[in-house]
Amino acid sequence: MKLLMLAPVLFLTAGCNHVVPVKQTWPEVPAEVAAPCANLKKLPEDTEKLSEVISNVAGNYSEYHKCQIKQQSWAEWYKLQKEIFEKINK
Amino acid sequence: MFLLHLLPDSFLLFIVNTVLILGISLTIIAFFIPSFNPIIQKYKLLAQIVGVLILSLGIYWKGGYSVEMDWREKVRVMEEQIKNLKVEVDQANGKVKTVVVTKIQKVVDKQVEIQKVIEEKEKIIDAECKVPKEAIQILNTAAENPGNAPAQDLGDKK
Repeated sequence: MKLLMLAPVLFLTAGCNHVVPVKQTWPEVPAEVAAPCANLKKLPEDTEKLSEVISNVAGNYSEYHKCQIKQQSWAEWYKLQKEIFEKINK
Repeated sequence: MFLLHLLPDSFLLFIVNTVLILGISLTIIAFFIPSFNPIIQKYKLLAQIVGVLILSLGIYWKGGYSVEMDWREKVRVMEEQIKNLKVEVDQANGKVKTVVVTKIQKVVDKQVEIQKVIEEKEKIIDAECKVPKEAIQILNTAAENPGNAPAQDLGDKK
């Protein structure tokens, strides 16, 4: 009868299967890609020279091009990381 | 089997196999081997019950152990894959970073050239044109991002 008291202890060792999940962390995006795009530059209110206007517009075009590069790089980075992630999870 | 993680694998296997072999032995002895010893004959039923219980337990533990080892192997293989793919992740990051830095540098270089040209041609550009204030206001309003900042008043429209 005393031995029967061991039975619950024995069943404890045969409990639910405990599976340790494998943790896969999503990689950090490079800072150059994650940096936010700058705001467009404004002109001083008292601007009269056309050259200053052209300079401002050219500068803003440049900011747009940088932003476009970042956005395209972000999409490329995400696509690459997704392909790598899916390799493991096939 | 959460307690399995506390014990070394070899010891665990030893215990499981011992219980299984013990269960098999006791069951065979109790059921199939006739005993001429009256003492053993007296406890034959008990031995049969205990033998069956131990055998059941041994089989259950053996199954559980095999499943546990299978899962551990799967986890090990997956961890190995993740470790190998980390190299690919770092390479992808490096590639994207290099491309971004190179392209942005080209944009900056071009901007510098354009500014030089504007400075050279400043007098020609400004000779016959005076920009009205309204044009500046319109440009500044267009430069604002309506998603980020409140819109500026354009003033009287002509």
